[in-house]
Amino acid sequence: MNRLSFLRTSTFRLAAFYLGLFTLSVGAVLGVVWWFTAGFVERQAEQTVLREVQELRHALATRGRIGFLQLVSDRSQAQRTNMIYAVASPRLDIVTGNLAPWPIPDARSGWVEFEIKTVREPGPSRPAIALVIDMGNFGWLLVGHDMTERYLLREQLLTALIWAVSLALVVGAGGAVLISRRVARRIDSINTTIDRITAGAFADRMPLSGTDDELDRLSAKLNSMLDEIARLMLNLRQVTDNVAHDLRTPMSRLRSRLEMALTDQRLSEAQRGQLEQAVEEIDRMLSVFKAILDIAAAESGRARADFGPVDLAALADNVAELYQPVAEEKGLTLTLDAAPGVTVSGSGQLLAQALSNLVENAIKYTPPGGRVAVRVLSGARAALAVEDSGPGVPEAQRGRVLERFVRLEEHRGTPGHGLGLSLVAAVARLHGAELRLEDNAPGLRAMLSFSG
Amino acid sequence: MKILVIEDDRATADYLVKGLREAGHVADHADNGKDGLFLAASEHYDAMIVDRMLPGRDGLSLLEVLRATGNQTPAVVLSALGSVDDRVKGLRAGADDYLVKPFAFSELLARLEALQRRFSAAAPVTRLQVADLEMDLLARTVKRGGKAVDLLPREFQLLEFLMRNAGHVVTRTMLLENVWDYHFDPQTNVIDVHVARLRQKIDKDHPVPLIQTVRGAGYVLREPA
Repeated sequence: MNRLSFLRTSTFRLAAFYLGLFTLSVGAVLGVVWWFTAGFVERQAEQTVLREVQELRHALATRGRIGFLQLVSDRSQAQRTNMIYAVASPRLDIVTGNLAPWPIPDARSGWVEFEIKTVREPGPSRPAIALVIDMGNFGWLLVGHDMTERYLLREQLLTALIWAVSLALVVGAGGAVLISRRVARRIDSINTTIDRITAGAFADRMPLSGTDDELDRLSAKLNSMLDEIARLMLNLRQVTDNVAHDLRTPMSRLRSRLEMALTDQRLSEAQRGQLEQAVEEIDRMLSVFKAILDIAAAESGRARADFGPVDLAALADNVAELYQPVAEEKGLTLTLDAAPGVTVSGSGQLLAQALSNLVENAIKYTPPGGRVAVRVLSGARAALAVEDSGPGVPEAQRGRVLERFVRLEEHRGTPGHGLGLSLVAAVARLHGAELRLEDNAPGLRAMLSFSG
Repeated sequence: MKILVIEDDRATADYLVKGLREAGHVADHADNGKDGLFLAASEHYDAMIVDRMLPGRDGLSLLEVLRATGNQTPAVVLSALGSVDDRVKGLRAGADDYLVKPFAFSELLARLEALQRRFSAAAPVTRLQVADLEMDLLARTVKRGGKAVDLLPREFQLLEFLMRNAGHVVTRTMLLENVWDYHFDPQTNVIDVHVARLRQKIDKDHPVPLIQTVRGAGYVLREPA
């Protein structure tokens, strides 16, 4: 299965959809986490500042300006405090606190954010937030919070969250791919089995994994459908065979009647001609019936009992010799190219009949001036092949032409009953051989390859 | 000819006996293997027609018994089993010819007569002659009107079969079986083409054609009356 077609499968699309949902929910969870941690850190800082401001205002109200300044100064001196204090005159001169100079160009009540620049120890500036309060005649009060550590924490948290999301995405995507691949593989195996069955391996069935999941149940349903189709096909075939069988006797009686009539000396030439044509017509019908029964006999496998060694070169030589004049009559060259010493186990008569049918077809469909080649191939698999330079068979039709009575539309006009290739296919099955129709570019190559 | 018909099916037997008598032969009939065996052993027949499926006995086993006792009466086995291998089995079991039911009566008659000729030939022939057509079987040469005719091996066999059965109709199936040893019917008239070629070589430039087509039956090699 190539990458693109995999991305097009519905299992993958479903997996991708779930991955999207999964990512969204992971995102939501992390958003909540963010809100309760990073957000909380900021809110907590703000609340600390607010509490401090209230305390200082309370001190201002109860202890007066001196007490208030004292308190601010004390608080400013506290060891390792993150709090920032500044009291400034209305003209923004620092009166007390641990921040100098006044950090912002102007002053108005409300929250501000700024960078603390320390003159003594140059280094990275430190972010801070502060609440500025207008105390009228008393000037300005700034209570802030050094946010350096808090922002650091927030950054680490953000990094952690990004990692978590990416990890979740990777794991989710991997899982989605794995799961959809597993499902896709099983659906794939169903597809390849169906392809094999369509190509003629009618006895094949879907593999079951034994888990009794929905795919297994689908496979089992497909299998029982195939069994039913096989049963119907068999019925149809039996009906055809029986009809062929039962009609042969009356047909031959009819033929004998006509023969008797032909011996009558009082017949006019015209009557004789009519009767003779009728006899030939019956012979054609009988040959169709015979072909049907030949196929049935080959398919029954009874002939296997009489299998013996068959020399393919001799067989091909005889068939080619039989059809040589027929090919020449039509202006075709018939060549034989037989590897010697290739022997298979089989029925010489049936194989000769199959090869004859292939050669007949090649001769029938190849226009005058064309070539027909009969080959015996040695190698890993012995094979009989008939190649022609005719119109060939379109790839889509190659499976169909092996069926009984199937004739391609464009050849409706030529004589034939559409059973020739069916017989070849039946003989192939009987011998455990594979019948393949291939493009001979131009024309058709029909190949019977024997196994082992 | 005097012919013994061993056939249990009444309709088929009547049809055979009637047809044979109309063709000028004498026909006896047995409708089971036991009577058939008795008749075949006690009387002389020129040929036998034996149904393969007889009540209580297979026609082939009957033939095996007959052959074991030294009876060589030529026999055509009739069978509803039509596969190639059934034929082969029948021929191995001692049948001289094998015909699948249903059959054309002309086919059966042609085969019976050919069998009878094959068996009545007293000494092996080395020469065959019909009109001014001569065949030397030892030198494998053919002359028409004293002039040598050049034939391919298969054409020689074909002509030999026609000449051995001169004056009698031989069917296409008989030619396929005897000349090519094929026991199936090709869909095309491949035999006609071979005969036409042979005709080209034998009858060309001769006012009297020897190979004639009998429509609905086959071919016959004979001097026109």
